[in-house]
Amino acid sequence: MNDLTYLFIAFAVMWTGILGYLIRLAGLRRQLEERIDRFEERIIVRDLEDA
Amino acid sequence: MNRKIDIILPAITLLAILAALAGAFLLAPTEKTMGDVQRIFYFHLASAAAAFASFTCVLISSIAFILRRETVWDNIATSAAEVGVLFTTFVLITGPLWARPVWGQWWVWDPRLTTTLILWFLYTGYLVLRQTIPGYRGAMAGAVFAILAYVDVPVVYFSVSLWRGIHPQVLGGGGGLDPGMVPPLLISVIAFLLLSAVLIQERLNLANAMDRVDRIAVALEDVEQ
Repeated sequence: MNDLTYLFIAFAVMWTGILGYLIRLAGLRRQLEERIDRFEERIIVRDLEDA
Repeated sequence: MNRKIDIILPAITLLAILAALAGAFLLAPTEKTMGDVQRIFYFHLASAAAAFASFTCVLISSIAFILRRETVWDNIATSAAEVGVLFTTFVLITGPLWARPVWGQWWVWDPRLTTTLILWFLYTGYLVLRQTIPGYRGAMAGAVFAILAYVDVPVVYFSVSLWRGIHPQVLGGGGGLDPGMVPPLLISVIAFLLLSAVLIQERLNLANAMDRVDRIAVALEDVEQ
């Protein structure tokens, strides 16, 4: 491997890592939104039952 | 979640990253003996600076948690630890990629490399601890562990002068850094510090929101019973 290959691999690994971490955060955000949606459904069902 | 800092900080960070890339690839002079592979240095050292800053944030928030017992400090500590481990991983990957063509080996058990690997294990251990012990007990155990783990940060920094290895001492050691390399290095360090702040901020926002949802879940169950 020449110098530029090592440089490219280092560069690619780093930015892929940062992208991967951002994807992980997006995944956690989606899980949170799904939980909030389920709460909203439960609240709606409870309100309907109360009515 | 739509506070000004959540918009302004990522925008400034993006500009700083673009400036850092331009600095490392266009502005910085090519090192005479190592050639282009030396440009890894601008990301390698900046990642180390971001990792150290993140672990300092873990230390401060862990002390604050022990003193104030507020969940937000535990959330800051775990968010910063995650980001610190991410940047330490970059240090441990970019280092060998730079070492192989320059030293002829991927890894040597040099004091700087060994203590950095220990640092990675310590904070990965901290994250495992926080995942395995939930609630207040886990937060308190994590805070104590984080304070003890931080001892390795100055050890990593001073390892080059404490025990003579083959890792060069760039800062404060008369490392013979070309004056043309200083501005791109500074830009890169600032960009990575900003990037770590953005990632910690994003992770913290999520952790705080998760706590709020947990509290709502408990309240909802109380109402339903």
